[in-house]
Amino acid sequence: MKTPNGNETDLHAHDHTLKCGEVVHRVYAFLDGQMNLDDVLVFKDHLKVCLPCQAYVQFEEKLINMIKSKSCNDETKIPATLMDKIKKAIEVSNLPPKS
Amino acid sequence: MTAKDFEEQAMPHADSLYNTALRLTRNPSDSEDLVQEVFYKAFRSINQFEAGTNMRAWLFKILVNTHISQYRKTAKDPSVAGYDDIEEFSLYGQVHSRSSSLTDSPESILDRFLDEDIRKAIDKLPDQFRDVVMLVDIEGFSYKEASDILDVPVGTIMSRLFRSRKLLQKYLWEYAVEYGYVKP
Repeated sequence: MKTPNGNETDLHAHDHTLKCGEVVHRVYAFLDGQMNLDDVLVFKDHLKVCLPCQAYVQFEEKLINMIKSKSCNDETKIPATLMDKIKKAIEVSNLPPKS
Repeated sequence: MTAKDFEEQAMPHADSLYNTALRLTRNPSDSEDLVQEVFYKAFRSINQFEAGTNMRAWLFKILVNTHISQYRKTAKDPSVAGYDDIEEFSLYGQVHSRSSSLTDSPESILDRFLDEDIRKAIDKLPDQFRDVVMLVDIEGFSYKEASDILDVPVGTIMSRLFRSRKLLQKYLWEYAVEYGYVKP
């Protein structure tokens, strides 16, 4: 399993329960807020003592935030005429037959 | 549920459904047809909606299913099977191995990408990967909600998301090299 820096083995050998390779595999569950609380604490403990993983997680976080913000910039409003058409059809419950 | 209740609960999601429809169909006219169909289908089958559950996720599920049945030839896109090797790719690793000075941090490359690069990379993703990125990153659904909408296990959402992000990184790296954001 590769570490964030692309090394095959875990070169910085401080004592923590989470391996750097696991950080690479679980980084998205952590950043997406989809990890259980116990695992979040272990993950954060690892980041506190492991600078390469810290830099890696920051990089991934920044990239995800870019994807979120840059692709959400183009929010377009639904055309008002279409909204009116849908509302009217629903209000009179006069929907076109199923296609 | 009355027509009025439906309007109050469902119509506030019209803009985000429309934007997702635009991303799915890449065409304003098809998006309008698609969103209209989604609201009609939802209203007709409103008795299948459990009160108090997630209206937004339910509407998105109808959107995705309608799009798949109308616009995609096959619901299962075979092309995603061939992306096992992408898991090893890391934009961070690429940049890290090239950055020579302390001032040139791997993160600084991210500032050089234009909005256009990001959009182009997302658009280039295979459909099944793009669906997950749209739902989780752009629309903010949880893994569980995305799994309900796409009708696949949470584990599949996680692996598709992992591969999608790696593939996005690979495309961005290609742009970085092509447009000279990194020194050759």
